[in-house]
Amino acid sequence: MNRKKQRRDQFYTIQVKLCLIFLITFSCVFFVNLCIYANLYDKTTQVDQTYTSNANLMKLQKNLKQIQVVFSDYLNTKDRNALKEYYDCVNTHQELAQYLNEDVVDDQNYLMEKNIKNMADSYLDVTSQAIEAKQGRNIEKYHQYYNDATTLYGYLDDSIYGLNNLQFHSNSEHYQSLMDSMRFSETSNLIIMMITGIINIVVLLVLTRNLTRPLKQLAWTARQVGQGHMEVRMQIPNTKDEIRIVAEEFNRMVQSLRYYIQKQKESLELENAMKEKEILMETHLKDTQLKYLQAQINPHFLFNTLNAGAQLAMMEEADETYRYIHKVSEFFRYNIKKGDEITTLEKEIQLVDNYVYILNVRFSNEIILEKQIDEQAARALIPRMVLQPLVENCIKHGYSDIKGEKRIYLQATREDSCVCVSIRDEGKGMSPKRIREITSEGLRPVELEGESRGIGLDNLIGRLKLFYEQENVVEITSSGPGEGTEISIFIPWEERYYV
Amino acid sequence: MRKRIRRGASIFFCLVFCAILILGVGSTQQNTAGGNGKLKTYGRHYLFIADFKQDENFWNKVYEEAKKYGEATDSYVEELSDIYDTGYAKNDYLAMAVAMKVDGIICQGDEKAETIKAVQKVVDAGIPVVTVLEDCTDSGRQSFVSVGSYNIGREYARQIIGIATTETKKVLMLTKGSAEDKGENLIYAGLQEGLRQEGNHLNMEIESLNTEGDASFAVAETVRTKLMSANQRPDIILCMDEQDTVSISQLIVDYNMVDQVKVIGYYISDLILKEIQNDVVSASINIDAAKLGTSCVQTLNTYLDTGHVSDYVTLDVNSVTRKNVEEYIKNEQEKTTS
Repeated sequence: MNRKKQRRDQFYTIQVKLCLIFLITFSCVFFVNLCIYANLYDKTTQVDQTYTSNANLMKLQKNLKQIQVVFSDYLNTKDRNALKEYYDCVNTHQELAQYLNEDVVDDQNYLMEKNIKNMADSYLDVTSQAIEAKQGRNIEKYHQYYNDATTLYGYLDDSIYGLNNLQFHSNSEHYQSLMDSMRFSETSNLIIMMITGIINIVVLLVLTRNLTRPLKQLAWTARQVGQGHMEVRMQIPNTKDEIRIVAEEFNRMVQSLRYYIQKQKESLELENAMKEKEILMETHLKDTQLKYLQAQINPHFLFNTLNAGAQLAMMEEADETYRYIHKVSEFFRYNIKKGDEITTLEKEIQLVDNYVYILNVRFSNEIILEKQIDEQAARALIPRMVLQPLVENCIKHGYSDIKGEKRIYLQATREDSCVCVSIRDEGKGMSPKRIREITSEGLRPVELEGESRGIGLDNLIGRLKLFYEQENVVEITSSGPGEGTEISIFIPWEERYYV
Repeated sequence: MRKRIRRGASIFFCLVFCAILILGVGSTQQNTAGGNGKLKTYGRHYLFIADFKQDENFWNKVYEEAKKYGEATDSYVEELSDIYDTGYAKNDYLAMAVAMKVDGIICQGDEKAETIKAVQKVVDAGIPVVTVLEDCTDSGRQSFVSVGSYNIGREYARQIIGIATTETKKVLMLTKGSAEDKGENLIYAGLQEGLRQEGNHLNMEIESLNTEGDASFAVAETVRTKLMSANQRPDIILCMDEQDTVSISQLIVDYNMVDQVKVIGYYISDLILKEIQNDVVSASINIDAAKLGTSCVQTLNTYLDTGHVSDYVTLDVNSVTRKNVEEYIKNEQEKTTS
């Protein structure tokens, strides 16, 4: 039962429906054309046959006349050719007369045909008897028969003439009515074709509306979905064709789409939440790191201690010691200063000075800092703790394992579109690979606390890039191992970066 | 579902309408084209031969009734005078009938030798002949259907007695046949006998005026001459056919002699009825043409069915007068409507 239903449903495809629609309309037009054609054919045949009866009668009359002539000839001459022709004519007459009516009917024309047929038979009987009498040389008899035949021929000829007239009149009327009918046919056929055409259009509209309406609805629903109205739902048409399948699948597709969008939204929300959490964790970590550092160094205690040391040195008149402790105190104050991340290049240079002084106390003035600072360049704004780590790097890494004088060149000069701050040492130098590694990698806060030179530079470069919003803000150049290293910082010559 | 059914029904009706339209127009066109349709066939074929020129209305009536009755009894009665322009004589039609091999002939007879010969020839050919109104006595015809000339004479006598007074002296009888015309002789005999039996109180002279062979319209001229002459003027004129009845009554009116000369006519037509109503024609012999026609076919049928039939079939005769003309008209109208 189900299989039967399924097979039936499979039958009602759009193709089958379109074929049926075409078949219905085509059949309608074909049937109409067939009727019109049959009608016209019938009329044309009738027109062709209108005067056939007259023509046949004329033939009959002509043949009878010929019979009378050859019959007379034979009686006069007893000519064999005349007799042969007589029999030929009689045969022809039989052929022509077989189409004449033989029944008693209530139509004058047909009845006259019967009369003529019988009269012709009587006439031929008499002529035949006359010929027999002639052949029997019975002069009186064949003379009598000849007279009778001639009289009969006269009746016959008049009868045919009369019938011909009657038929001509009725045929003319028939012809006229046929012509009228043909004219009527022309108009009526045109009207029939028009009506058929209109009916066909109506039938087509009615039948195709069933097919196109669900498609229109589908298009409208698809447009709605396209505009983001995911809640719309297409009404399933009450058909068994592909449109129903498309509608059902469309609804299913919209439902799936709705489901995936929901999923995607939830996934994005989750991801955002995780990112937020990560950032939060990082911030917390940083805070923790800071707090840790702060916990390690209690600045007040340190400053108080150092200040106490400085006062003690001053009281003991140890000026150098006083100066040293004072510089150390300033250095640390600058380093652990809170809430002010941006400073001027001048202050940074001052910090470098303090740092080099402290180190020279420790390392017996081995470190020589040569400065060349442009006055305009000194006003440049720069993130805190940039120059000191670079100088520290020069000492720790550039001049590691190198005894004796350690010369460091610090330059800050104004160029066309920027201020170039350069720190150069004459130490071990750096390989190009190492330079590439340092300059290409970004800021990695996790490794901020590392001791290696590269990692410290990474951090520094990252901060400079962020601050000046440029990629090429730091350049590291080294001619090779033992050739020293120069690190240049390019501060854009923009008003916002200067005080 | 209901909508679908309605839509399906609409389409179906559209197509049916289309089909009906085409078939309807087709059949209309067929009818317009005027096909002969199916013709009715008959078992017997009779030929009707009469002198229609003499009494056209009368013979037409006889023929129509014969034809009508024939159709009802599987016989077709044919009349040929319309077919031939040449105007054949009775003998020619009889000869044709033999050649046509008809089943029977209804013929207005006469007593001429050639007619007798022609009828005999037909009878010899095995075709039965029924003479009507006028007989062909010496031929071998099967039967003679008529109202009976003697009876007509008696009826004329009755009408004369009805209108004659002691002042009535002269009766003019317009005859058509020759001296040996047995029909008219019998009429005359019946007239004499009637007057002798019922009108012996009257003393009148009956003059016969034979108009056969006279040129057309000559009868009226001859009668007018008699009317103008006081000595010859008849008191009553007897007409033997419809044409004479009409022309003489018109003559009487024209010469303002309606009160002086009475006309007794022959046959009933609308014009004659009008003249009776106007008292121009005193009475007219009424021969029942319908009965005459049906009796002829009936007689032929009987002969062909049984092989024998009465030599004479006589019908009743009566008259329409001023007294019964209204009743006659009423009866005829009732017959027509029924």
